Amino acid sequence: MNRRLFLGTFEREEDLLGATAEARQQGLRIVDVYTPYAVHGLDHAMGLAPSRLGRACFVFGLLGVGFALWFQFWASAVDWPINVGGRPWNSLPAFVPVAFEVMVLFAGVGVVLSFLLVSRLYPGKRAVVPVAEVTDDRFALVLEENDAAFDVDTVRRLFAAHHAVATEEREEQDPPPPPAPAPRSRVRINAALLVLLVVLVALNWFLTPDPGQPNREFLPDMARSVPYDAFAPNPNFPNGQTLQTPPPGTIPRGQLPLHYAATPEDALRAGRELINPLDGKSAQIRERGALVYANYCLLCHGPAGKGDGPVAVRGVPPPPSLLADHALQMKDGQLFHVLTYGQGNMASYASQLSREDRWSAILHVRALQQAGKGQP
Amino acid sequence: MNRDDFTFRAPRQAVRACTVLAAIGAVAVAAGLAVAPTETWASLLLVSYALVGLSLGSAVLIALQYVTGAGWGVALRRVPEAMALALPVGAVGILLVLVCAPSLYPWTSHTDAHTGHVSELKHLWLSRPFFLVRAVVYLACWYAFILALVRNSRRQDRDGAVSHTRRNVALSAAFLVVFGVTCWLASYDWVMSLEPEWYSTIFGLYAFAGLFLGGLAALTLLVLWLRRAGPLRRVVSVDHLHDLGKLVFAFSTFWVYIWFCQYMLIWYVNNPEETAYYIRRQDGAWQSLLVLSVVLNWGVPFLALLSRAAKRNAVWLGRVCAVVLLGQWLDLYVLIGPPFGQPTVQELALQAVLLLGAGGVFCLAVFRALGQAPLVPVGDPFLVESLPASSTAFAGRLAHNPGEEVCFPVTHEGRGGQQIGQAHPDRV
Repeated sequence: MNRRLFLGTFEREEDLLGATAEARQQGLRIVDVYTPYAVHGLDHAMGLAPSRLGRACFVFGLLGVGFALWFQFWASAVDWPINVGGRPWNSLPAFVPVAFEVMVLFAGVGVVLSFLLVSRLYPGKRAVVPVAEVTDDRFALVLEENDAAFDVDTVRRLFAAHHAVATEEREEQDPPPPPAPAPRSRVRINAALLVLLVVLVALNWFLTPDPGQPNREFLPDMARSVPYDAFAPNPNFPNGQTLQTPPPGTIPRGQLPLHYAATPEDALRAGRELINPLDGKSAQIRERGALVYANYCLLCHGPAGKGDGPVAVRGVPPPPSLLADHALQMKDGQLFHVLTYGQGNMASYASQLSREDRWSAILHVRALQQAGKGQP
Repeated sequence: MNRDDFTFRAPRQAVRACTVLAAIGAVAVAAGLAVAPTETWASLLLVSYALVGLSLGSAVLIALQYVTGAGWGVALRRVPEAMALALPVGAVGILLVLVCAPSLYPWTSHTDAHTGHVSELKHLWLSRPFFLVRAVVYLACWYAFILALVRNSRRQDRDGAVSHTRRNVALSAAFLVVFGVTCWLASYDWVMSLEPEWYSTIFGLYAFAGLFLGGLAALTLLVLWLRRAGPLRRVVSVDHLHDLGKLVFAFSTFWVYIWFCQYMLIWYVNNPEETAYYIRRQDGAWQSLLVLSVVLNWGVPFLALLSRAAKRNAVWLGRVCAVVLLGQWLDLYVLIGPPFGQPTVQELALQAVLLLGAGGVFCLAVFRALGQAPLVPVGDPFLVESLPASSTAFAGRLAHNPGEEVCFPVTHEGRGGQQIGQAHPDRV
């Protein structure tokens, strides 16, 4: 079935707005209005419902914020926590900038895609231009004959009252005829783009840099720092080296020297000179001592210190009982020397146990000896 | 249509109420100075700075509209002009504080242990005579620009010459540049130097964001009042409110953006000199006030003005603007108050009375300025563009009958034409 369309062309925005509003008041069916630019108030004159894109935008923004906050929380507090200057892993202030940007990204891209989808502006969509001038300096109002009461003269009077510069009547097939094939110029442009793509892929393939060569450096300030590397020659020091030998007597931070050699004599001397800095009053230290004993000593010495640990039972030469007189008579300092340098079959535990842990283990041994008094 | 319709006469009750408030404020200042001078001076500084901010915010809005060639706000321009003309109210307060209460600023006493960390350059910059001269220069400079802009705008009412608009565009461009520098420096001088060891390079921008947001909120409230009270009823359309609402919404978000920029960098870098500022503001009652200030300045307006319908609703918009104004006061309180200790009820009461009193004086000054010229700039060539299209009393008649008794110049170019150059020649 064909439909009859009436086109009014206007020179001025105000005339178009007036004609559109009046046409709507008179109950005429407005097919569409064509303008060279967005005209304020036209949606109102046409009686269009407010856009729902704002709500879509809000939802996309919320999604973006939610996703970004969750991802940052998961990445920096759950999956791969990294200590940054002692800040909590889940630090909201640090997440805000990324959350903000992702919100903008989601809202922006989301709302554009929704708009294209809702307006059916798919790729390859053909533009509908009723009058070529609407792309330049004219405004066109298109009305449709909608029922039998439709009066052509009313439309003409309406157009004339609003200073229409041209009025035109058109018959249009419904559905509209299939679009003409794409013009040749567009085919050529698409072909050129395709060739360009192939060339770029080919270039990328052939110009792949040699993986054995270093990459090109762009702004290398961060990679090549001004200070001398630790082992680079350095003209500023008399010996020509960057890394200087520490002055005699220097000790690393947090490390205390221990002035005992790994000899039985020094073990005795340690027994005379050293006293346990910890005492058993603190439950925390007692628990620590029990833990250290359980992890490192129990395997050979056994849960009660009788030398019947799981390893000793299965063939490793068992150590003497810690409850024996010899062990009872050993001073704390002597035990510390044993833990630090080893004795007989027992190896040194200095690299596994900190000093505090060694002393706490000794506390536990004393507690075991106290508990096992009078037993063989 | 004649220009008498646009004469503003302040309602008697409003004038009386403002006068009473101003008197109460003056008594409160006198009493406060006798009982607790430091707190009173600090409060006076806060209130004066806030009022200067309202005037400056309006002046910047006028200048921005001239520079960008914006047409929508022309019909409302007399309102920001009047607010800008009230600059001396806050200026006198600021100068009074700076001259009479140097002890507010720790750097004025060189024996103070505080100054130990202040660098040489700061010592040079923060010398008292230079400091006072600078304050006078800033204020005089701003007022001179405001006077010139308003004078041109008012002259245009009489002769309708386009040259006034051209001159104001040039003046506005110059003002914006000068303002950009002086606003930055003034905020450093008057507020940041209350804690001289602390510094934040974004502080000037933060001050600008605050004063522009406050100015917009106050301006919107005033426009809403004039619209309800009469003179601007037919001039201010819902579209104008929508535009004002958008500006308040946008600059509320801009404000929180700058606020967060400052906060996050200081939080992240964790530099002792800088964190001291926020540590002081997270102590005791200040912490709640700090959070509340962000909620009032951004949280409330963001959620309340997000939808289009909300921005077009006069009552709703007015409420949000009142909240924003309160938020701006709170923001200044959190800026200025902490060096003088924890907030107390007496201090808040004094602040409230002072604020009402100063507001009364400010409103009187605004009323006076509004009464000096027609409430609508009837000679401005952009006026037609600014008037509501639905207002047939104006636009319809004006567009087609330029020879009638009409006091607006008319352009037939519509949007995007060369309005300035082609203002109608035979206007009345």
